[in-house]
Amino acid sequence: MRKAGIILIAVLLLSVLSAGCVSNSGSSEKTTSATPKEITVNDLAGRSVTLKVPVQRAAILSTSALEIVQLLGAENQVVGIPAEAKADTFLSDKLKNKTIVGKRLKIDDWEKVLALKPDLMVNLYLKKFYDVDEFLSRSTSYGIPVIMLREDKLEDIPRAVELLGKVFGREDKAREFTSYFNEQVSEVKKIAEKIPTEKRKKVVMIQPIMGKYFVVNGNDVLAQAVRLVGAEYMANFTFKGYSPVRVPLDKEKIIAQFKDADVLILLTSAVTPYDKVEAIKNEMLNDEAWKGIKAVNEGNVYVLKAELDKDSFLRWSPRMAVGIWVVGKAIYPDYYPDWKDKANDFLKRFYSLS
Amino acid sequence: MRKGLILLLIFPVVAVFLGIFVGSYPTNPLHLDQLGKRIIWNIRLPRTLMGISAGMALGLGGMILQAVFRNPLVDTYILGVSSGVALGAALAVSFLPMAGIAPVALVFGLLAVFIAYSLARVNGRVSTVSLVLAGIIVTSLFSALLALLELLLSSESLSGLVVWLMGSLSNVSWRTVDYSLPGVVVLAILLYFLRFRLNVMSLGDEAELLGVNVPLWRGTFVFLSALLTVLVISSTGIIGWVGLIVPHTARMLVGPEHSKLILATISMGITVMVLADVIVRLLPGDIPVGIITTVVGVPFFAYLLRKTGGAWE
Repeated sequence: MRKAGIILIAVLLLSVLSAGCVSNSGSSEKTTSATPKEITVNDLAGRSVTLKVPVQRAAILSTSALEIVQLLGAENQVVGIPAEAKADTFLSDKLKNKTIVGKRLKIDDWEKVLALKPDLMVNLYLKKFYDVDEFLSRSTSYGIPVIMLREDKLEDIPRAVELLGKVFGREDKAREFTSYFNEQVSEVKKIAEKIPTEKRKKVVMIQPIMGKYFVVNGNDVLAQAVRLVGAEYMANFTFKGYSPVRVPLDKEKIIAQFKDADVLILLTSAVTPYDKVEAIKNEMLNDEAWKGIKAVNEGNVYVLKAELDKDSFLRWSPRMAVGIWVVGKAIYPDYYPDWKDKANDFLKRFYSLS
Repeated sequence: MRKGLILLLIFPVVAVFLGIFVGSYPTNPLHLDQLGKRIIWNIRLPRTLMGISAGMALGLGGMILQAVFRNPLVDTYILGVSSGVALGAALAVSFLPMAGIAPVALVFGLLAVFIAYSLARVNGRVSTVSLVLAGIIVTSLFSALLALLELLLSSESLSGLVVWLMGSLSNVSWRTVDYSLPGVVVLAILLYFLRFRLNVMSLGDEAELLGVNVPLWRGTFVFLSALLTVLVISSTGIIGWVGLIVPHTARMLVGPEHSKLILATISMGITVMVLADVIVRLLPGDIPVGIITTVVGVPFFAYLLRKTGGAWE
């Protein structure tokens, strides 16, 4: 009996030791050598966050935030990523090979996160998609500060880059990007001002997913890009005070509500790649009912990429610096230059991609 | 009785009329503009015909199983059809995007029924209890596989799949109707020819005393029922409760004799599905019709259950 007790204690001790080894295995990341200092910042959800910078071990749950980290050159300061990061072609293998801690926005296993000993978590403030309060209270109880980003507005993109530049200790790179971004916006604005009022086009964007049509709502960053390039965005849905960014509508409702649209833009997605959307576009152009929409009748239907591919710039992320040119060229081909050179320059300069 | 039959004739006609002339684009039957005509021909007509196809198929599918297993509380979904279709759709989205959702969903829907039926068959016989249990087993297995696949899907694919599974007629085109409606009509005609066989089968094992090969016909009817259901839900997504409520209510109206019951089920199925889709068109956004049939169906079925105690008179 006594012998059995000794064996049991030995096994327990071994288990504890080996668990310690496993939990420490995630902490072998290289970190920057800068001396940490404590600062307080306001995140994009208006929360005041106190943390030690530069951050050394961040767990990040949004691909757009990871794209910013990549832009800042702070890959070594990340320890955890969401599963979706694997599909993001902007991200380097160095980032993609970090530990997956969950799916976009959500943690699968907090134990896995804690084993990584993060000194910061970055997530999106999207109360409709997950329990933000529960996420915050959990991370607070574990003593991990959280920075929340929002993917609502175009102007939030440089703000997010600046904020993350500050916490990752990469202010110079952040400044370089924000001045580039603001330059692109003001160039686009200048072109937009030249478009005469009578030539201003009415635009609507649709993302087909599994046979359903999701209309991009007026509060989405892509609708803001449409307005920025000098066009009128037609969709503006609010349901009891709530404005979703995508609204599912059936074919008849789309035709009835947007029959005056001059330009119809179809967007790709992770579910509906370019070829499929192109096929949908061809079906539309040959369908008498769809021709009830002016844009379809006149052949002004365009397919633009909005997924995580390298040549896809229509997502809330630094990509939108090129995305606004993509939108401009599609709506006003006579006013906006081809965006391919801009895209190449952007990819090379900020992501070392060609 | 005659009044009831007249109503069963009038209801689907009224539903189809509303299906053709009600929607978000104003269409006055007396003054149709060019766009109105196009909308009716290209959108509302295929949608209404799919509603007819779905109403007939789901109603008859439920009616067959209720007769064969002499139980008013069964429909084709207990065979695991819905989980099979769901798994097929998820596989199509994640691994076989070029194959299209409907064909893969159809194959997996039928596969689920085949497995359930084979599992339920003990010594050449299939009882209601064994079929329900086998259905639960297949549903659980396929649901677990679906959950596993969902873990691999991106957020966009996952939300697209969830919406698709809720069942909708809004993405229907002439191409969808082309393969669904003729198939359902042919099976409905075949079923009408087999109506006396179905009457005999509803006697249960006593049918054997009349010289009927019960295991063979039971298998045939289960396959027919599954085929009817899968022909529809592989392209529309899961539309719940129609297969339970429609035949049950039709039986309350015309009795269990199948020459009348088949026609009443068709009439009620068409009415329920087409009207549910008309309601969807009048609501904002693109609400899946499966939500409407469930929201209306559940309390109605609860009422029937309380009234009949689940027994089949």
